[in-house]
Amino acid sequence: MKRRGLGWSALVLFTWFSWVDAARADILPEPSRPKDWDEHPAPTPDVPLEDALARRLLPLLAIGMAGGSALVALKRARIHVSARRGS
Amino acid sequence: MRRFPEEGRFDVRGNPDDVASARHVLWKYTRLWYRNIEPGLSKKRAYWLLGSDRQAGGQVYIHPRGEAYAWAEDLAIEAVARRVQALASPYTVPVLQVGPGIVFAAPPPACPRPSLPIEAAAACALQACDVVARLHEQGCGRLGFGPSHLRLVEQSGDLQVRWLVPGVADLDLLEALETTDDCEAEAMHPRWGLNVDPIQHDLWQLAFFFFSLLAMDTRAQAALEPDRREALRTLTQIRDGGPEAGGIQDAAAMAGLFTVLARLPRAGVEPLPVVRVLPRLYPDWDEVIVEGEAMLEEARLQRERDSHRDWVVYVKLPLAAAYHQRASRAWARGDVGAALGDVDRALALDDHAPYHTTRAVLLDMLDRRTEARAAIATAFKVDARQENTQPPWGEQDTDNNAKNVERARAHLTRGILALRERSLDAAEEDLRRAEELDPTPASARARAAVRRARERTQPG
Repeated sequence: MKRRGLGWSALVLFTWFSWVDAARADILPEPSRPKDWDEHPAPTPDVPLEDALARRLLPLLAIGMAGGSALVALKRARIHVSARRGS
Repeated sequence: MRRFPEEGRFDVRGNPDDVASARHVLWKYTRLWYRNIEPGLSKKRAYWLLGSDRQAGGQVYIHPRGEAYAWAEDLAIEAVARRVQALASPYTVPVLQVGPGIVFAAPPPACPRPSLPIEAAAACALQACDVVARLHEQGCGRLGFGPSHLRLVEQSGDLQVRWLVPGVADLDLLEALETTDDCEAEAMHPRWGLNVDPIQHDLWQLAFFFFSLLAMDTRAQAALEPDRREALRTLTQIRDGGPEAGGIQDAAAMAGLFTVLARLPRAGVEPLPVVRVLPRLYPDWDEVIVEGEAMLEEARLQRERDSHRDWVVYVKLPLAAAYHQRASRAWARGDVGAALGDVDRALALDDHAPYHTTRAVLLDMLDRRTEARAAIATAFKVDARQENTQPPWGEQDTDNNAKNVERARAHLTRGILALRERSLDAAEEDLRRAEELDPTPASARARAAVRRARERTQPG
């Protein structure tokens, strides 16, 4: 009789704690990432320069540099000539 | 986990668990069981802890943090409190300390609204409008306007506003239900809708606040001067149909109405910021990271665990997001090494596909192509797996849009990696998919680069 009583008590206690645990699990929200933490845009890869821009920009850059060098050389030559004439 | 300043300047009384459970049932009480609410303002002490200031003396109110699973929400509330503290408006209750929890100087007692003549009611509403406009400028909206939040104090014969910001969600609705004759109509009123724009919500509540103070019959209203009658008519339209019905879009415009009603000279009123779209408010990522790591360490030492679900996951997911934000910031300023360190830590906390994509981008920048290819492959593998986190109810559409943007970024990254290896077919396919999901200038440029690469490789 005593054993049966103990058995019933154990069963009641087990059911109670299982129910409390289940209820607690229901209350807790599903873990989720904060949806509005997006202050900084996520990194994106660089489009390969050689393909996207270089074909247009590099020739222009080369022409510009060559022209600039020629102008500097010409200016220096003129200064040189005028300096000699002056002397 | 610390939920309020436990040592130092403040002596805190009460149990934060009691406050957390009182707040937890508040939404059920107001949204589901509102028919059972007793009329008359009840005491609201249960929603804050009380304490005292050891340095300055006097009582303090403490807004403690909730359970660990609400850490990210608590950080958002504390970000608002920091703005209020910095603003230091004479019309807000002083914020003495922020993090963990919020400590306020003791506010004046919450009392039922007095009935005031129109000038006094408008003057109080104008003070509230001042706070609203300045907080909107800082990205703080959806404020609490009930007697427990928006308190009044007599100052040299006049009533002044002392506003407790940030407040407790749903406490306003509880107070509105306690003071209404028709609970059903009040609970269903559209201004309590969860999807109402925060600025619209605040302007609507401002109109209600003004009318809750106003003691004026219709005959007296008809006897007002034309400009004041017009201002009152606009406010009535706002109360009855929302700010759009009154043609008011910002708190500065609303302040103009109260200025007229209070008979104040417009020139004497300091211009308020015009804010029609609430700026986003973010926590400080460095502070989130320091605090989150400390919480994880504390959990590791104490082996504190929930019986069903490890609460540490509620810290790990936001912490990983904070690391990813800091990595994105480091990438933008060109510090790729620091960015890679942060994204590696984010991945250790949360195996999330977009973090793998970021890692692939950073490795590509460091010319570690083999590792970049492996990282982007993992991003697709992780994305294909069943997600174990669900978006909150009602946010599935937003979640799908965000996922599409992230998938487009992953396709763009894999496409560009393929382009670098001259695998033009694979690159074309990925970049086309990226453009389908989320067309960006980068994806368009990358597709043009593939086309030019094809032109060069094809003879003739």
